[in-house]
Amino acid sequence: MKKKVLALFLSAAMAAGLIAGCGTPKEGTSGAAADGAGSGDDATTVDDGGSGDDAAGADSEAPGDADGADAAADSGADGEWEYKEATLTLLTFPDINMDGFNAVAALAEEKLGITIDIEVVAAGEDILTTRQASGDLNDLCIANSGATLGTQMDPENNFIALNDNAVIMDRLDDTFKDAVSFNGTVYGVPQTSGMAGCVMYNKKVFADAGVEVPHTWDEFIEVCDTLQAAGVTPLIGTFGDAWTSQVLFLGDYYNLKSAEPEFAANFEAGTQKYADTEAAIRSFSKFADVQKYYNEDYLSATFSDGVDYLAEGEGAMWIMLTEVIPEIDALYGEEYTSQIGAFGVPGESADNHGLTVWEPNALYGNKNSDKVDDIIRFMEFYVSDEALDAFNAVQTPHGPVCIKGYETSVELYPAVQDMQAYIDDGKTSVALEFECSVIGANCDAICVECATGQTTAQQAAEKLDDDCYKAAVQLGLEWEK
Amino acid sequence: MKKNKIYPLYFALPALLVFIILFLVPNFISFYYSFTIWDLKNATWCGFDNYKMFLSDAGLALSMKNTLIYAVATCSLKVILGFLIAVFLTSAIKTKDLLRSIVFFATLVSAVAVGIMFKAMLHPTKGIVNQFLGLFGFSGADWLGNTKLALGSVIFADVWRGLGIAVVIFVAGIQSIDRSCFESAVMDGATGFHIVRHIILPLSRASRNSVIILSFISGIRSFELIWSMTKGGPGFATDVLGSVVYKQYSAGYYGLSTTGNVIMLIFIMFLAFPLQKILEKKEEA
Amino acid sequence: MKKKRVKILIGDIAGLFVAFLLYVVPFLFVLLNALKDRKEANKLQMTLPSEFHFENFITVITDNHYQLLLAFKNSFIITAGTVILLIGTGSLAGYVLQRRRDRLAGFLKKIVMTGLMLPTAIIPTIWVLKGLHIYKTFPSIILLEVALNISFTIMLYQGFMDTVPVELEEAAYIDGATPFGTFCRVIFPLLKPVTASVVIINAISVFNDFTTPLYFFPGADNVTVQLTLYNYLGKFSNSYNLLFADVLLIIIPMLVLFLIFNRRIVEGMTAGSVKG
Repeated sequence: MKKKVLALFLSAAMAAGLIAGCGTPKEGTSGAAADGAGSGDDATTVDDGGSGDDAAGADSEAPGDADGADAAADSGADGEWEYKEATLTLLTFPDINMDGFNAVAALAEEKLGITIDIEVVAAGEDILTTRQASGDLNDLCIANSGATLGTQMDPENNFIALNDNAVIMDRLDDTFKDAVSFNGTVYGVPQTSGMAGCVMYNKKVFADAGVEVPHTWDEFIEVCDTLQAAGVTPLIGTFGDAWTSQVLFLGDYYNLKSAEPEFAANFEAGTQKYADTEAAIRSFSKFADVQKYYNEDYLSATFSDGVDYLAEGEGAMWIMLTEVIPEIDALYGEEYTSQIGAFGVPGESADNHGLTVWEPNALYGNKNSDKVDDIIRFMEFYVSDEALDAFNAVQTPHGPVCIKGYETSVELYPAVQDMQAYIDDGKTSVALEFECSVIGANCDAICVECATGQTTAQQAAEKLDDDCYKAAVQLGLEWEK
Repeated sequence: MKKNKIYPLYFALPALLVFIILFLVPNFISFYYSFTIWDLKNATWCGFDNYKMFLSDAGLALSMKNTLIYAVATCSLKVILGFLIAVFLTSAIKTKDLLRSIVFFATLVSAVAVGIMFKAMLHPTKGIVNQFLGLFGFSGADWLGNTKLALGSVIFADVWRGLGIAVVIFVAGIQSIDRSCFESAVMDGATGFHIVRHIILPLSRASRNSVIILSFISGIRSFELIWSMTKGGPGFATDVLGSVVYKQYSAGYYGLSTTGNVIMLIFIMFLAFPLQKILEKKEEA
Repeated sequence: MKKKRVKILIGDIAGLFVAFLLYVVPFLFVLLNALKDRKEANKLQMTLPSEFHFENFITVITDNHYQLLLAFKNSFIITAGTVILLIGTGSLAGYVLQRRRDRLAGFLKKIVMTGLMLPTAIIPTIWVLKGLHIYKTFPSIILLEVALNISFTIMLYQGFMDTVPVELEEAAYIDGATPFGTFCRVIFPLLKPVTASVVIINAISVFNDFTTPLYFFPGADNVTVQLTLYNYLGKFSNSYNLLFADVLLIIIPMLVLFLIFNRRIVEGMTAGSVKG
């Protein structure tokens, strides 16, 4: 009886697989070729249980695969690509802007024959680890670069190593490579451009109130006072989305690092804590300094409210990631983005006014997929000039592109030009999560608590230390309290 | 003994099999992992370290307190309001079917959607709740942003959504009371209040117990609505056990979150079984 | 007598007024804003749209290659499958567990009640489903939803069985009917009211379940209705008009079900309904 039931389920599963396989080629692909590809894939999908090893084998060959790499390499410039129909599944999250990616995916369908089947999952990134553990990871996924790659995503067992692929490796800039490396192996390509965590301001509001960009924290407070006196909301707070609260603290890392150049290394080694580092406590105390300048609804307003407030000048400044600018562009247009400028979170000295930058999310390939060749093909295409042009045509960069030797032809947003000035002056630092692997999970809530006056800067620093300790223990990092 | 032959235990087998295999077995397996540091693939035994870590967390007292407040408040509001509305809906009014349907309608909406609706309506500056209060000269509040009010606002939304079921259970209970009880009471000259107090209240005890147990347990476990309205914030102000465990899971602390689940289960059993005993005793008395 | 009639009238009016304010206004608010454009809807006002955007509903349906329709299909299959299995297994279990007075049955009742209290163990559940070779299939998600909802269902049936006189099945048994025949022909027809409650309560809970399919039914083709809400909740895709339109669209199936079973819901809950 039991066997019968099992057999029934199995055959149902197989039938479902077949149906899915035939259904996948999207409209527009020619029938015969599509069917062939589809059923071919299915043969390997159905006996899924045993295919893990085969896939791993395929992986080790893949980077050296002469055809694929060469074809891509010599066609990178003039836009000729190997055309072979395939469907790749992609895992992404609701908080990731997919406009640019979608444009590249459309182009890839046309030029490479690769259709990307996008799955947007609502929930934390635990979905990614859950899927890895159950062997259900999609062919491609978009996820964080930086600390969590090594601590949570187990890249060695899950992601395709890219070190042997010259086409991709030659394109990635070194800072980005660091952000997607674990134990010396590179795993991802940049999904979008980098960004800064900085103060974004509405130039028109600044001009009307007669204030200039401040270069120290004291000047910043003065600007806030002047704006407030002029009847303008100086600072936009959007703590309805708690993650937005961290940007002030994390964006202040340039200043922390200026004061304590070894902080990241010491913290990772466990010899220095937030709570005994004056500069870190100073970062937290900035929350208390600015609390009175926020919009009335700062505790309930959300990220998308903030977009409206900044664009329409209902608030003068917003301490936010520059990724907000393409969003303003999409909703309001160029007329509005031309009014938005950016400056780094000011520190103590005007001579050392710097900027904290984030490396972008990465696109990772699943090494256990049976379509490793196609994944590599897509990733190679993704970092090509052609793909970047397509991307930038619909989603203008909100920071450095992280690709060597690529110059975009689109006109950069003024705020991104402001950002570029810091980069040209060498006054930037990557955010802490790219220099240190011990990152607490509750930083956002700790920042909100501090920003609402529930805790002092000292208490917040202690809480963050505890939070990091918990992370270190639970993620199996060797770290002493 | 012959009697049990009419009721062979294998009738319960399909239900129990599914329940045990897909629910109890995984829970037993995960019990082991509550004693480990676990990345979902490899587990390292760590004894009671996770329990120590979970129980020594500075925020635990607050989340326990919030969980209890939440469970007790939603439960008692559902019982009291549910009972009063049910009495009202079993009176002589004409629109009772319509009203019952309207109240029940809210239970059709998912917790996520209810969270979205209430977040929008409770917005401090734009929201219609504050605008409505403004009509009467009240200044309103930041219902979800104020740390003192946020939990109360979520409780309100929970009651709003769950009241329909409580009302239906009470209406059913009241309708099943023998008509003759009312008739003889009216003959004795009992007033409306007396009927409610001395007839309906005691005779609907079974319904009341159901509502208490169900809403209390779901109150302790509740998570989805809180998550979709405040994510446990502002800060940690509305954290409950469910949201703490979820946050640990999504941070990748799989061992620790399993420990949290075990502790939460003990917490529930510790409260629910005695509660049920007390209620049953009263019922028999 | 006249005084009483006035009192009833006042009761009706007051009841309608309060119900309107607390329960109708929120849905009206959702409906009005579902018909606005993004900018206007994000103001969250209780005003008529300056222009009616009925096409919002079309947008929500057609978005992401008609994802919502796929989600409806999946959610229907899962909900219907679960409810049918719950009725079959739950009524049988509730029947014998209520009728038997022995220790074993008492113990099993306790076990069943733990189902209301236990959390879902995510990864171990996936292991079990994989061990059964049904992971990522409709049978797996349906059986899982059955496991999650069986406790409450059994309790509902048990509670209702209290009101069904034992003499009926004893008579049938003496007449030579098999236990199963007795149940099917004598008892089950009497359970109609509580079955109505079981249908509606479980349908609501399964159809509105967000987390179970999220973790146990991965894959873009396996999307369920609650997940579609997140298309309009993301950092870069927040639009209240579409979000609210989606909220309304996904209530419709439950509304229809509710209208069908509305009158029966109360009957099913009669007799102390749920008992541990």
